[in-house]
Amino acid sequence: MSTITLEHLTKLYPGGRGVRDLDLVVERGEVLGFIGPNGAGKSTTIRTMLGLIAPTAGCARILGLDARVAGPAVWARVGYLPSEPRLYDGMTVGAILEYLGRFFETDTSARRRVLAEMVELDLSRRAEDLSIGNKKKVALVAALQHTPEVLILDEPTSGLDPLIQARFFEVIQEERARGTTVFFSSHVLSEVERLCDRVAILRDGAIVELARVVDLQARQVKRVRVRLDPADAAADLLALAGVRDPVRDGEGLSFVYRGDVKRLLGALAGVAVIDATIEEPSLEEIVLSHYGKGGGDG
Amino acid sequence: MAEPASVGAAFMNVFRRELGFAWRSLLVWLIPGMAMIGLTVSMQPEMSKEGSLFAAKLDMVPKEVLVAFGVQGADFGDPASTLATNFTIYELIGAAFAGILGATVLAKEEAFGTGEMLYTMPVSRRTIVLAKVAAGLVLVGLFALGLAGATLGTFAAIGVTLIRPAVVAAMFAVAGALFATMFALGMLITVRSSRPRNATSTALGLIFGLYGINVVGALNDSLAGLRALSPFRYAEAAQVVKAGGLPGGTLVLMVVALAAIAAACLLFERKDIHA
Repeated sequence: MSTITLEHLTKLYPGGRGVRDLDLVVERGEVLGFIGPNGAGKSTTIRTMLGLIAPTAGCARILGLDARVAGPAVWARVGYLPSEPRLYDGMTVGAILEYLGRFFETDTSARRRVLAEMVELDLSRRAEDLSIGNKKKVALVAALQHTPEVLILDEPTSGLDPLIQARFFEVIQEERARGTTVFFSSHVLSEVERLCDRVAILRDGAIVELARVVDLQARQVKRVRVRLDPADAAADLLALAGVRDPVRDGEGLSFVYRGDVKRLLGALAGVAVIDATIEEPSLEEIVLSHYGKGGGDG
Repeated sequence: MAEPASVGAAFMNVFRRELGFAWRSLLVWLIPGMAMIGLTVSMQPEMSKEGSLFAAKLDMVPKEVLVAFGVQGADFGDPASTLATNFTIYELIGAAFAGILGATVLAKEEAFGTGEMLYTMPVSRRTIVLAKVAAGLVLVGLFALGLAGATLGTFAAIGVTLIRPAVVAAMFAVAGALFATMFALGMLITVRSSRPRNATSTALGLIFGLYGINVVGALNDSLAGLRALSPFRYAEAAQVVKAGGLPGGTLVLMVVALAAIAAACLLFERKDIHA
């Protein structure tokens, strides 16, 4: 059963920016990575899904409901972590979370305490004294304290130190184990690779790829590193179709190769190779081989 | 499965939060206002004693100027009439407080970036707006009551007996209506703004612009029609003294306030929230 559905979702801003014709279904209990470079339209998509902004065309439904129409009925079942959470200055963390918790019928105080302990959040501190990491912790607790069925995370770990990031991942993994559907926006592909079942890749406001993480990893994309005889210019190798992003470093040459491995081996045989390594690339390299490196400005 | 709180509970949650957020601001504006009005009112015995002298001096001022600044028809023997001659100052202070409060009541959530969390809580935007409006109206009402309290307290302290207490009460009631109108107009002009951080300066521009229209309209016959556009026109204390109670303009202010609140509410429900 689908939990999130985008149907031809379009939101255009003056100047042509925005998202166009997005079609996507996220199944119940699934963790979907929504990746793309900064400015690709990830936050616009999320805000449109949540009803914060109105679509230009198409629609978004969460748990079968359009948030622009059903508002509170949707938001009661969704936890949302904004990319840059801002808090009410002059209030303590505990008071802010209590204020947000009072929008729910059920008492959220017990779960709030558990979550605050999990992420090591001091409820007595004032909002204006918090670092970005601690503000994100507050927003994470706010998103989870009512035990939502759907969790929407917009760049949850950006700006966090590795220790806090690891704690965030633990919490998200727990939610996943509990059966929560997670929509995870990020521009850090390694996070998505680690947490998600499927990944949707957004570029210039359009979904250019939607695939299971394992399928992306299984693509015929290889990271190739060779050490060459200094006298060899390796022009034949670089001219091979499917070679992307070559980097020369003295004797060393590395590149991403997408294509028939036999042709790659044939090309390698034709140059003066001292040493060669062919390995599975990271998800990031797979996606960049699809995007091209210059695709990150959208 | 989490259920949203009842509409009433959500309303009270936002209402209490708004009052908690703005009470310091109320005190910052109200305490100097109360001190000023108390100081002015305390001069009533001297004003009454020297009334004929003041009246003679005012007679030398062109009638248009007296109307423009709300000091026409002053009777310094009547405490209510004396109060009316400087009441515009307190109306301007209260209008500034109310206008800024109204302009920022919704804009601050976007300017501070807290709207993204608030507007994804299980409560409709209409409930949030109405709770914020209710809190704002309570605050501007308290402002008018505070000024009235300082006035009556000072009269009592210096032993001045009000000849027409109903007129003084009506002056503060009209002032309250003016503050409510300025609150509502402040909210309306910033509700669709894409620059919520400019809300305070926008509100000040609105308030002094509307006051200026009233003054210019009184000074220049060819622009007299403009006065109808200024809420200050309908809240002139001199008109209250003349009418001996609430003037008809009070109703105009209330209608404008309600219409502006309704329009702001409808516009805000359709607004894209970016922060």
